[in-house]
This record gives sequence, structure tokens and C-alpha cells, in this order.
Amino acid sequence: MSDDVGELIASYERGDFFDELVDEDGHIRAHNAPMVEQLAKFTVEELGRAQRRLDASFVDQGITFTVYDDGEGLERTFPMDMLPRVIPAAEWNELEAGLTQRVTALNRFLDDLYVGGAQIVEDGVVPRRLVLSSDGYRHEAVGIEVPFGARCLVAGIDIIRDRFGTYRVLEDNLRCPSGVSYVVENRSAMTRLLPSLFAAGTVRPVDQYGRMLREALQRVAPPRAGSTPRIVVLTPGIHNSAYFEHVFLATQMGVEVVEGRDLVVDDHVVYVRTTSGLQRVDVIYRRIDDEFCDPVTFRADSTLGVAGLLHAVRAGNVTVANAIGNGVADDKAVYAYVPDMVRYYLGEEPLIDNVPTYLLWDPEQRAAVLDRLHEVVVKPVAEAGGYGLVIGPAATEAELVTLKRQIETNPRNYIAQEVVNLSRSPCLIDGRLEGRHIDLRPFVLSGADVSVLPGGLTRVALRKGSLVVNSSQGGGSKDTWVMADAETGVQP
Amino acid sequence: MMLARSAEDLFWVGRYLERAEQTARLLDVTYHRLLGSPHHERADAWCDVLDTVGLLDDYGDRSRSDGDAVARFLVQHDDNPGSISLGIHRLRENSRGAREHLPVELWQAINRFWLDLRDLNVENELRRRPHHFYEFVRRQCQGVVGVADATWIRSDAWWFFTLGRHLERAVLTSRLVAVRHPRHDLAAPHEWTSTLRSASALQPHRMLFEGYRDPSTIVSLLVFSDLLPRSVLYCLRQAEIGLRQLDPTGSRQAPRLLSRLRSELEFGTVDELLASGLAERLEQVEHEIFRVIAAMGAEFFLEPLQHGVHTLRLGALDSEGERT
Repeated sequence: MSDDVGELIASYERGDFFDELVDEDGHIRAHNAPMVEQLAKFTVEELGRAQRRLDASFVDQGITFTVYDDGEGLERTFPMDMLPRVIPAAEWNELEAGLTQRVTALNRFLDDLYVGGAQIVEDGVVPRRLVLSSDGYRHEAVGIEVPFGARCLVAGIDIIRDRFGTYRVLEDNLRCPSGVSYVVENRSAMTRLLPSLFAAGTVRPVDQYGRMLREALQRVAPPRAGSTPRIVVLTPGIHNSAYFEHVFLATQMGVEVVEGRDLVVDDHVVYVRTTSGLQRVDVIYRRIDDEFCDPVTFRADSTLGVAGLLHAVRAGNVTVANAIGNGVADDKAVYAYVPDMVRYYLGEEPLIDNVPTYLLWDPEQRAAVLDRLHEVVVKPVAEAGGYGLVIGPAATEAELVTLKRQIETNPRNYIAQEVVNLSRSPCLIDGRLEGRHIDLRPFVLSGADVSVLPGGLTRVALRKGSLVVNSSQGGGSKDTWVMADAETGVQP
Repeated sequence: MMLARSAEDLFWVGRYLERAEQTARLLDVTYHRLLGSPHHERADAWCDVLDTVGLLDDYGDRSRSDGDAVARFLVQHDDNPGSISLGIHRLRENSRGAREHLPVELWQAINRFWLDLRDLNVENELRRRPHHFYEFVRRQCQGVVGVADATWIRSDAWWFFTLGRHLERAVLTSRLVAVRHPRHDLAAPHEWTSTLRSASALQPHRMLFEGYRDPSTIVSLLVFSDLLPRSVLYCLRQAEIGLRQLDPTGSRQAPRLLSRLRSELEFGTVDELLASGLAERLEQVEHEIFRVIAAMGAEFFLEPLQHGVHTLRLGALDSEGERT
């Protein structure tokens, strides 16, 4: 086995997929060349050592997420591969425009549903029963205004590349998308462990995310809060799988992490219990699902939320972000209509396409799909984290029979998509470079306008051949480099 | 001003840390001392350790108080809320719960401590080389405190942490004196040494009381010293500074109770203390400290917010304000 990284890269086998590093003829893609040049100055042993130091430092810092296995919570790290994923400026600019367009349309859609009289439904663009039957639709939230209509204050849009390298949206995460802490921590680790790699060019920074989020939250505060609203991050608690991220975001913004039991609502005003008594709260960045956030309105058995929260929101005394009821827009069946929303609200053609999707409640589409379940991916519409996903070509006959029965029992609950052979990127695995499938989750912030953090979480399906990149399913990550435009220089 | 729950968590971080360090020190001192002591002293010595950390009743059957059993109980026993391993676990959980208040380096030190403890085969350590394990715990605790001191902004969070440490320490030293004083026979100098070592006070005692052959010097040093960082008075003064920071207008009950206790102690003398019955008087001191803590719970932590979360009963008061 060679210790020379240059040789390692030269002998990398791209396989029959779209590869992020090398093109069809086996040449390093131009935008990767400077990074590869820097990388080749290391030995494989040095990269391996950096990898081990990285893993140890994540453990030391408690940069972990919790996986529940047999009822026992285990803290795991989200492993980062040492080879960054590079996105050239021009490609990013297109992605950014497409993401901005998509999130703008999604905000308009949600505002339309909850405070706009659902014109899109009246006009027959999105079927009424699709909306009303969505698990994420909250009739309790109808009539609740959100400043600037910024309902998806933080959106995480999962993007993949198909075998031709075309970027497509795989799904939208509009409730409590997580992962942005890894974007910032990965970069921080990379600059600490392999600083010389950054001689490859100007990589756009990501550590301004805390400031961006704080500003976005400040903007949506109720007007009476003035210029210094009290903001808190609401977490389900230290045993939540994303607790590290909740603390991370609070620390980056200089605000406190609170649990439901730390808040009280009195006369439609939310207060936090402090060492100086109750203090008024203006903005809650919540990382608790809708149904758990207010036992008065939603699940009465929830101990995580705050009784009376929704009434306080409705009274305009506090802003909760993301808004209540966003789940209807990231329902995977509603997802199929997002391109139509873009056309309807913005009068534009979508800049980033969806993955071809079949709605299984439609008898014709269902009939066509049930005959070829072994060729498609089937997903439950309301799940996140890759749970319940069935990849036809990899499933057993018995699994497909069960799946078919489930679909026929509750067709509204499933969609089917063509299998997309996600693009691959080389990863350092046991001293060798092996191609692994990846995706990209950029983070999009809404306020008076929409902005995108230049970068995002590149997730890697570390298991050989696997197409599932979710952290809960054995995924890893890569530092994601968005290169600055040579013309305009650094844009923070 | 800060989140009440975080303030309480950090107060307990201070207490757990102090308690783990002192438990390890007591075990270490006793383990070493008994290596050269007559057999009949052993059971008494281990009972003293249990009594000092306030867990004699929890331990149960005193006839089985041999070194191994007591060490296992105080280090690893899952049902013992005062055990070192449970304390460190809680220390870390509380730190996670209030993490945005901790400097990054401090959180890492605490996390590393927890990880290292988790990776140790404690049972094996206790069997093969208990002194190594005790030293490990003591050093880790001291390391954590050192990092805190060197990196933590002097915010309210810091003062709650500091208060937890000093009040816990005041209680533990007070109990040490109460439990050990009857053993300070002139004919048993090794008992003196053992007590002083347990409060890191052997060398200071030599410096300040060289030549005195009077057990009251130990009481004088451990209770009244201005200089010894583990003396009861010193700890109360440090705690007082903390409470004044947290209540600058002096409008709350807890600082008033603490200042009264401190001044009563400060203007007393060793002779008065011994004459009025040392054990009873120190029990009163301990009781007053718990009243201060209860007042803090009501005024700063907005209890019963966390009722029942911290099951370490030492210092808990029942509804009548009596020690349970």
C-alpha cells in the first residue's frame, strides 16, 4: 500500500457514478486541482493521524449526537472524512439562487395556508385533501401571523446530484433541521488539523452562522421588544440527540438554552425563570416538534413544552421559530408540488428540480409503482432521518410484500421515487481512497429576505454501496468548501 | 441574572466536585494510614470516613465496615447517591445542562474526566492499586477547578459554582472535626496526622503550631483559620463574597443568614467552642449552612423547580426545615 497521497489519488477508482473529484475521463476536475495539490503534500500516515486526532477531539469536546439503541442512549461522534468536498463558485451561485427561490415559495405557501385563505388550494394547484390530510398541518395555527412571513426561519434543503451531475432537491426540512453545528465544527477542525490545505484558494467562511441566526431571530421579534429582544433556544433536554447543537447555537448567539420547564406563560406572555425571578421572553428558537411544544393545544402528555405557548404566539407576544405547522410543507407528498408552488407564487420556472416522485394515493401512479417496487425508493411522507425508507433494489422479496400491503392500507402515507444513484466522493477509509455516496444540506435563513450559508453539511454514506447518508444510519460528513468567486473575491 | 435551573446545576457542579475530591482524599488518607496501624482501629477508621461524608446511616451494617466494602460503597455503589462515580456522572450531566455558561476548556476538562473514569475498570483498580485511583480522582477534580479558575469569566455562573464548592467544603470540614476530635488523644499522634492530612492541613499545622501538644490546635486550625483554604471560617467567608456578588443590594435572605453564621463563628473562640460541646455546636453550624442553601433554593433557584432531581440527601431539608 502506498504512503503517497498523490499515488493514492491517481489510483482512485471512480466507479460508474457521477464522481465529485474526477471526471468521466479520469482527470481531476479543475475546481478540485488546487486542493488535491495541497493534499498530495501529506503522506497517508499523516492524514490518518489527523483523522485520529480529529475523532479524539470530537469525543473530548462532546461533539456528539445520541443514538437510542435498546432504550439506552449512546453518545456518538459524527465522523468527518479528511478530504473536503469542493463546490466551485459558479455552481454555488446557481444553487444559492435555486434555494432562495424554493424557500421563498415555501414561505409563501405556508403563509397562504395559514393566513392567506389558501388561495393555492382555491385555485386548484395543490389538492385540498392533500393539505388537510397531512400530519404536519396544524389547523390550530390558522390565523397566526409571522413577521415577514418568515415561517421557515431556518430551512435545511437536502440536495443530491444524479448520475449526470445535475443538482436536485431530495427533500425539504422545514421544522427543526439539524446539522449546522457540524458545518461550523468541521471547518474549525479542518483549519486546526490541516491548515495548509486552505492554501488551495479562498474558501468562503461559515462561522458567521451564529450571527446570521441571531439577526434573523431579532428581526422576527414582536415590535414591542425593541432592538434587544430576549432570545432563547428551546431544547427537549440533554438527552435529545441534537442537544450538542442546541448548546452550540445558543453559545454562538450568546443566549441561553432553556427547557420547557424553565418557561411559564402568564396572561399570554412567556417568561423564563431566572435567578432574579421571571423575565419576559420575546423570541423562542425552538428545537421541539409542534406536537410537543404546548400540552394545552397539542399532546397533553408532553412534558417538554410550555403550557399556553400557542396562545402567547397568537397574541403576538412572542415569536416562535420555526413557525408552528411547517410540517405540511415538508410532507413528502406535498414536496411533489413545490415546483408548482414556485410557478404559482413567483411566476418563475424552478431553478433546481425535484427527484421524479410518484404519489401513491393517486390510483394510476400507485398501480404503476406497485408493479415495480423493486426498482424504486419508497418513503413514509412524514418521517425524517431516513427512518422507514425502503430501497427497492436492496430489499428482500418479503420486505417488498410487506411494503406493498402497507401502501395499499394507507397510500397517503407513502411516496415513491426513482432510485437516484447519488454522486460519489472519495473518502479515506483504512488507508485507501474509496468512493462513497454523498448529499448536501445547505442551510437557508429567512427574514425580511432569504440568505444561504455558503456551504452546508455534506453527508456521506460511509457503508460501502449504501445510499443512506443520515447520521442515525451510520453516516459521516465532509467539510464543504464553497470557493469564493475569483471576480468578486471573498464574500462572507 | 441567569436561568434558575442552570444556576442550580452549577451550584451542584461545585458541590459534586468538592465532594468527590474530599471523598477520594479521605479514602486515600485512611488507606495509607491503616497500612501501619493495629487491627482494632480499622473498623473505627472506616466508620469515621463514612460519618465524615455523612453516609454512615446509608451504609447500613457497620459490622461489615472493612476497607474494601467501604471503598466500594463510596466509589462505585449505584444506590449510593454520594458515591464518586455517581457524583462525577451528575457533575457531567449538570455541566451539559448548563454548558453555554462554561468556558470551552472547562467543559472539555469535565468531559475528559468523565470519559477517563468511564474507561477505567474501577473494580480492578480498587483491588489492585486503590491509591492510584484516589489520586486520579483528586487530581482530576483539582485540574477541573484549576481550569475553571483560570478561564471562567466571573459571571453569576462562576459565583454559583464557587458557592457550591465552598459550602460543601465547609460542611465536610465541619463534620471532619466533629467526627475526629474525640480521637485526638495525646497518646495517638497518628490520629492527629490522619485528621490533618484529610484536610490538607498537616504542613500548615506544623508551620503554625510547631511544638504545641494540644488537640485544640487542630480545632483552631480547621475551624477558625483565616489562612487554611479548607477551614470552616475561610470557606464561609468565600461563600459570603459570592453571595454578595449575586445579591448586590443585600435584599435577600440567604446572604443575611450566611453573614450571621460567619460572624457568630468568627467572634467565638476555640475554648468557648470546646466548652459548649464541640459536636453539638458544629452540628448547628452544619444546620445553618443547610438553611443558607435552602434559602438559596427559594430565592435563586425558584424551587421546587428541580425537586427530586438531586437525590444527594446531604444538605437537603425536609419541609419543616429540619435536616432529613
